[in-house]
Amino acid sequence: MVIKGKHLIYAACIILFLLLAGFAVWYILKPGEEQLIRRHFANLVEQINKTPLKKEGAIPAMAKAQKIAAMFTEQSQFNVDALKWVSGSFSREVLANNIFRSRAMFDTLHLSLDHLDIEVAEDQKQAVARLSAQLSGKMKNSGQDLDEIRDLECNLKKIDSEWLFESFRIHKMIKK
Amino acid sequence: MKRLYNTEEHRQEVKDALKDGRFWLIMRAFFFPKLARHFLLRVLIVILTAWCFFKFICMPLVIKGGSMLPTYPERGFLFCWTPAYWFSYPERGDVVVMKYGRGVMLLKRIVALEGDTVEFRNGTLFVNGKEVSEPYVKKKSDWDLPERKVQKNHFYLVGDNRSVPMDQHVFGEMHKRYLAGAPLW
Repeated sequence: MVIKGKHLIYAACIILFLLLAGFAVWYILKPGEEQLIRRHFANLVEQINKTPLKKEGAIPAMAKAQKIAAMFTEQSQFNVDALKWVSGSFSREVLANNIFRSRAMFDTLHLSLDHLDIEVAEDQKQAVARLSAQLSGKMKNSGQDLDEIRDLECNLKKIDSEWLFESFRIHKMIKK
Repeated sequence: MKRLYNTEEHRQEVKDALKDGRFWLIMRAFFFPKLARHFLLRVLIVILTAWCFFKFICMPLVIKGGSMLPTYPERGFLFCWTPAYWFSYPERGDVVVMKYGRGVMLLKRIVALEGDTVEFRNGTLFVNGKEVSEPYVKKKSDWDLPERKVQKNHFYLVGDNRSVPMDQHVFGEMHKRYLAGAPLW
């Protein structure tokens, strides 16, 4: 077969079409900001959860606490209903210590986040997430079970193409 | 004998069977049809449709607890009809189903909407300073709750069973985004 000019044009058209199709597929499937925020929450859940099967030593627990703290901005705000001592502004260092101490109090911890509703600001740099969180676990010393559910409102900030938790407002799901 | 499924030949066979009075053949075709492609496709469509219907449209619920006595029994079964508020907004007095964590729902009555003030005075409900007639409450209570304003985008929900002490009864304001629907009956 002799390759003619029109064959080259056809080949160029097919290549162009494939490139455009590839770009369209990438554009449609690429994770949006909302998807990235969902992943950030899923990551938080993964880090917080603690199973009895995996015994966690002090050093891995501290590393985990630092990993969780790194998911927050340098200074993050907490506003927790009826728990004024947990409310306030915390640096990552303080947050890591608090998380380490809190997780150490439990043998098992399970966090589940539901009804996640995300609003990303037009500038794509700020977002507000509203969700419900259920934390259940077993206390280490008393063996007491914890099962609490709260309504969360969380502000997120995008810094260096990464979403970070900036503030949390935690209140009762149903308030008298 | 061949099991029946939807072809011209087998439709004729069913007709013949009906004429001859061989009902067992029809019953067998109905209850144990040949696993033909069409039949499997039908089963798949039925399963998918049922799953979507019962997951998103008409959710089955088990009632545990007597906070809605006597309107709803302490133990029972009902469906949550999710399209109930797709095109309308709940009103005061409506019984609604609210999402409460994973796999748990609350069945309550809306007594006040956003911006309203709510108060209990010796068991009597006052909304916006006016006494509310509640024929669905059969046992009077001695609840006393100071006046409060319902926040924006919230409903104020209370159960019909006021015979329990106030601190043991789960009630209060809840964000409207947790609204799942209305009970079907």
